[in-house]
Amino acid sequence: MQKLIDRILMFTLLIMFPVTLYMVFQWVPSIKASNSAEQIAQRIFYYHVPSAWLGFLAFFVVFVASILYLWKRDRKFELVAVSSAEIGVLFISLMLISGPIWAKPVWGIWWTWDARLTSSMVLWLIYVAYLMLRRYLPDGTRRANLSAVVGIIGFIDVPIVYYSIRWWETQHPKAVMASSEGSLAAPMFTTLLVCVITFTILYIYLMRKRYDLMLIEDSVNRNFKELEML
Amino acid sequence: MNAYLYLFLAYTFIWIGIFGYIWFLDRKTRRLKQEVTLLEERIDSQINRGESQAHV
Repeated sequence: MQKLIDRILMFTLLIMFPVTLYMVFQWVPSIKASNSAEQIAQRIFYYHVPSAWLGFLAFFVVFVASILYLWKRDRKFELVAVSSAEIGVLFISLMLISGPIWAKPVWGIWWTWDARLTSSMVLWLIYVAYLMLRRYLPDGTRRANLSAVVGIIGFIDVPIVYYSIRWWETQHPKAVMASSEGSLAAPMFTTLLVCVITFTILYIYLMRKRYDLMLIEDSVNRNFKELEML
Repeated sequence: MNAYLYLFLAYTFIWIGIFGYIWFLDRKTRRLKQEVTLLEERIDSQINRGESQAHV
């Protein structure tokens, strides 16, 4: 059953990703912009926003799994949190890379320390610290507790990142989906939605794979320790 | 720089990131397979040692 689910997810991704590329580069019309560079670079948005969404989703899972770990003391929640944090860091990294690549032709600069960009960078640093903490502390209850606390406190930055463009004047474009200030044209909204769905399926697939590996890793390490004690 | 180059760079980095992570998972799987083999060998040698001590 597990293998069947993995195959279905993989098959769906193999269809969906080429579809997203077709939609982004062929199907969706260009935005109305003052210069052609902005029109071309705007297409980065269709993978940049889903990367950010996936990062937020992954950190939300870390947050929930960390609370559940502290409550239930079940190791599986700890492993879910770590798996999700790793994937979250990857996609927030991709967001932090693709953002400046968009910014250069549009703003003329790679980076500016405005509220959205700075809070995103802080978010990335929090979860990199989370992974480093787990790497450098020995396996045990102390590491599990500490990482769960960081996983919970770190999530506070996610709403700050999300609302930063409303709370402060930033150079980053305003929200176009969940606001009354502006909305996307139907084909753009559809393309973005398809990309977000595809990235969410990718998250589910990667999470399943990473969690399974964590379980095997955990079991192998436990067996090695038991063998050494004999 | 041409705007198409920025577009190309952004998508290239994202795909490198995704495939890089899949490669990382694959490498981890291979390392775990080796560790499982090593674990099996150690368990076998422990069993053999136990059996030989029982004969003595």
